[in-house]
Amino acid sequence: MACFDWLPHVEAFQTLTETELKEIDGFCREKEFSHGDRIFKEGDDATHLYVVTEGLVDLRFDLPARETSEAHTLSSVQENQICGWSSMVPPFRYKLSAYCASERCRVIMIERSRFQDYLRGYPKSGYRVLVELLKVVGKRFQKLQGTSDDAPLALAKVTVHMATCGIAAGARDVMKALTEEVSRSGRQNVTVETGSCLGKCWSEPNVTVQIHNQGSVVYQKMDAEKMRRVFNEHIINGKVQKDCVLEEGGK
Amino acid sequence: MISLDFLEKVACFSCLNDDQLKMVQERAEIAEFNRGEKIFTHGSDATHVWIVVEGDVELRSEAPEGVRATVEPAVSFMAEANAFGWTCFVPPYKYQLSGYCSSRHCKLIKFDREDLTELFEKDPVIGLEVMSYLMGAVGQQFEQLQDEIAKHRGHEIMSNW
Repeated sequence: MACFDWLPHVEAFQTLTETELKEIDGFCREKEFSHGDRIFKEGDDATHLYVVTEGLVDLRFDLPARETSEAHTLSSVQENQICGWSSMVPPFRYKLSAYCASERCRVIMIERSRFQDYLRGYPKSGYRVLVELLKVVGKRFQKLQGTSDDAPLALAKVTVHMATCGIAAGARDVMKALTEEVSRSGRQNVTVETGSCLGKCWSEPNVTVQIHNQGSVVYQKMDAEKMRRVFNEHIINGKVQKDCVLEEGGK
Repeated sequence: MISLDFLEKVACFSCLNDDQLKMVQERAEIAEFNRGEKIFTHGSDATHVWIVVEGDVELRSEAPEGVRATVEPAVSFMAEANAFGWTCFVPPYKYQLSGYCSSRHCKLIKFDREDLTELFEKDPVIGLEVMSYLMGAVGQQFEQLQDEIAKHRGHEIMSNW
């Protein structure tokens, strides 16, 4: 698909006419990346605004002398979404690095200087683009505020209670399912531990999930299938699985 | 009526010419408050942009306990020619702080969001200038929040090493 075919779907360009999009198409180019490739680097001159047309892009902070990983991801950008909007805000430096997080990614790169000339030269379109872009940034800002303490960004600790009673009830299968899911997800911000009996043997196997800055959730009568669901829905997506909860809210 | 000289001092209008400033001027309403009076409430619908003409305004976070506020300081002060209340153009269109008159008396300009939107559509050059200013202001706040989170998370990662 050529750049022009994608532009009408881009979140900030949906109010533009075909003629206006053709103008923008004049200073766009496509580029493809493979998993782990860096698309732009924190601190660099923000020369382009990016639109993701395929795959997933992680926006990460860099740490000195450390390789990048998912634990450094602050947010992810998917198809038809924009990233690199620092190119629209002085001092025009990328504040995060962008990495291809899927097997491959395709992006449209919009040249900042020509895009800004276009906005100035066609103020009617420019005004509409900025109104939409402001909505995008406002919503992302709100999301970042809301999720900065939530899964999947936060560190999570999962304790499988593996005293004799827990093991007898099937805690080993639960632990095996959990370690498989952690490994499969590639998440490095999840700590797995074993714990002692909670004194509620009738509800074994128990699993405690604690996400940074949130109360802990104790799950009961777990099995491998429930463990996989809790991992994917609660730890990754932040949705407590109420039907399996024994206790909720402790710190 | 507010003078063009004054409007020109306001950062978001500083690039406008006299004809454009006159259009802005026509939409300006004056509002006056005494010390301690509330101008708007944290979390309420953001319907107006405000500019200080005389006196001081205190912007104060009054988020319910446990709700994360913006990265803006809990208290900040607005003096002459400072504009605030821009969240009326940014989702979710709610005031992120409460505003109080903090001097004996304060005189403010208020612009209705709908009036400004109508003006921006009529003269998109004005709209473009104001939105560019706003994009910069919101963008900087966003980047500040990213920095804060990255710093916190980076510290945790380094500590766990």
